[in-house]
Amino acid sequence: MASIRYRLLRNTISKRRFTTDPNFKLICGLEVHTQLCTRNKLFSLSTNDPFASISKPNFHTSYFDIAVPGTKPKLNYECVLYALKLASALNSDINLNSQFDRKHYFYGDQPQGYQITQHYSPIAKGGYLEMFGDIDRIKDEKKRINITQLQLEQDTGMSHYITGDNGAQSMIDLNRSNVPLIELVTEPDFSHVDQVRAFIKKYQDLVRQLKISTGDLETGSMRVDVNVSINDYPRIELKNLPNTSSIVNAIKFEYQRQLKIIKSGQADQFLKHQETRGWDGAKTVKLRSKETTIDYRYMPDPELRLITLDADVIENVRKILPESSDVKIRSFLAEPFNLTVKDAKMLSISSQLSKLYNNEEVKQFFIETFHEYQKNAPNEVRSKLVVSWVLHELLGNLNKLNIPLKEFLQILPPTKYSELIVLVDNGDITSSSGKLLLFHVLKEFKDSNYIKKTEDVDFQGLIRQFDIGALSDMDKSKLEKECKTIIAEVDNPKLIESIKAGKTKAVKYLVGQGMRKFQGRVKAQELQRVFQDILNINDK
Amino acid sequence: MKRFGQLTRLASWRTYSVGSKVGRAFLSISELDTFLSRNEWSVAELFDDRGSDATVSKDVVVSLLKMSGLAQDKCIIPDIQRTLKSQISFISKLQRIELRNQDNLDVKYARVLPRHNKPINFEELLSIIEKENKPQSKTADEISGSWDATGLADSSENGYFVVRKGLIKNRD
Repeated sequence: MASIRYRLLRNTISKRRFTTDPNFKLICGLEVHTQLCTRNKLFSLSTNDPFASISKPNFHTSYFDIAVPGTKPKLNYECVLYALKLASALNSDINLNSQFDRKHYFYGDQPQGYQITQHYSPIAKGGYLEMFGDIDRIKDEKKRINITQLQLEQDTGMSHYITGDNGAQSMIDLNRSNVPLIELVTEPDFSHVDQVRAFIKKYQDLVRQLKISTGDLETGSMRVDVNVSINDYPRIELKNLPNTSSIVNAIKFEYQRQLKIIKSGQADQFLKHQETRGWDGAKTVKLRSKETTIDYRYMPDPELRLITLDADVIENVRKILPESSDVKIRSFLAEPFNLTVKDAKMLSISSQLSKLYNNEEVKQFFIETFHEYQKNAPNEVRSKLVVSWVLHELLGNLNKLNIPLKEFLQILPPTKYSELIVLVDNGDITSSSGKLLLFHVLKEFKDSNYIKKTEDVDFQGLIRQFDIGALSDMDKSKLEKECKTIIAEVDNPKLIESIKAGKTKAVKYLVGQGMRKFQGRVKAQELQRVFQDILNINDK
Repeated sequence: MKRFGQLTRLASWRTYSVGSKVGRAFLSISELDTFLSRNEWSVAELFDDRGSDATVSKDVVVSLLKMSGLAQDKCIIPDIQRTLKSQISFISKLQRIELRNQDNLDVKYARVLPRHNKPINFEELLSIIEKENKPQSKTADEISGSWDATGLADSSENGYFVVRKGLIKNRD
């Protein structure tokens, strides 16, 4: 019965657009665990590589990581620096005297029998992350999510459950044991799932910009638990949410589940206490209730000294923070760039675009190319043209030919690359010819084993050599005559009728034929105009 | 180990008490050694649970065993109840001891010996990190693959430690 009820609930949610009932306010808070990408682990100097598990279980483990009796923790201060960077970027109050505590619980992948965390005096408290309607796609113009605290702690090992010859058993890999984590706890400030989605994306970008974590949910580098409640009813904690869509769907499901309980008058029975629930991909399922909550028996760790920092650390950490993504995006939206939000975000949001280039390198190349183009632009500055030639044409070719951006800069630095964009903008060559030219130059460069230099590239010479200059001076009547020949050769009355009937997209087929005939030397827009004139249709 | 042995002897020999008190914090290891070498207190008295109203039910013991991943079938529950009662009594006595200037006490520093660290400034922090990240800072066991982590385990398979499922389940 219960499964049928959940299936109906799930189908109802998936078919309808999710909305909240104004009388039953959705309240969410997040707990985010972020693995730090320090070189070594938190309390030992063994290598921090939690993803080595598949081929080499227990390979990156020291005596301390597997809790050999008698071993003691020794703090890796790189983790402290990473935590300070995050705390500073989130405007949190940094604790100059934080401490580590033991959180006791028994589990196979926790060999010490306790986790070292920061319970009583964490490294930072307070702070906030702000989201904006235009940049982060939330309904509110601006939304501030307040941070409760940030704490440094150990990750656990990993358990793989199998059924072997001796029955069910757990295979324990401790490569992840003692990997540094930051746990971030937010205030229950989220009132809509869009805000949760936006926060996760923004926080992912932040840790990547700070270069303190890969921020990937799929690999478990970032893990998000959600507290969901309605009005003043007790909160339900949701765990085991592997990606953003799981998080969003689990919140939607849980809201509807709680709402149904409240509206049916059963809240006293089913929503009386806090509860922990998991997500099975389709519905939330009960994991623990208040009655079975573990008493963690927190105590200060007697083997670790306080993290005592001088006040100058706060100011100096602030100085080394990179420019925030919001500032970068705003600068691209404004003069002289005037980019769209989408393009501005592509250039500003940190993601591992490719092994051949990173976001920072592409952004820098775009800015310098833009300024060079701006100096020589024949008409008004077309920033979209530069975006297209950097983000699409250039990156596409680098991927196709497997050329790192660093190598590419030897042959086409911004000064030279902007020449190509100006040639296209000026009509000296068509966009199609420009693309062919770029590919040719890069192919030659790659084949030369990156020996060629900037001075070896002569765009004008290449245009003459391959005779790809734009046919801008072609007589209009001659062009019209050639286009009429194309229509005759296509010999497809149905196609012509559909173009005349208003299916203007069909004219693209004729334009394609024209591009082929003129080998890309006549602009596509010009060809389209001539075809439409011949067929006596208006441009739509 | 030597000191632990001495403490065990103290616990078994001393049956008298001069009362518990909390004095000023020790300033050095030698002060602590001197204190421990004098017959001023009785462990046995602290563990004496006569007069204690602490109770430990069988259910609590079973729950603790589960939480700790320990088997119930080989335990003598009444013995554990008795031991736990004695330990609770001990903790209660410690908690009842009067502290002077309790309002000014910072629990962060409530240790046998004072532990006031020299604050680390930013330059020192970077210097520590640089030093830690040098390969030669690692001890032998911290070098990946330098030792067989599962070599001494009772149960291992293909480089993994093996834990029986029954131990993982029913831990609440």
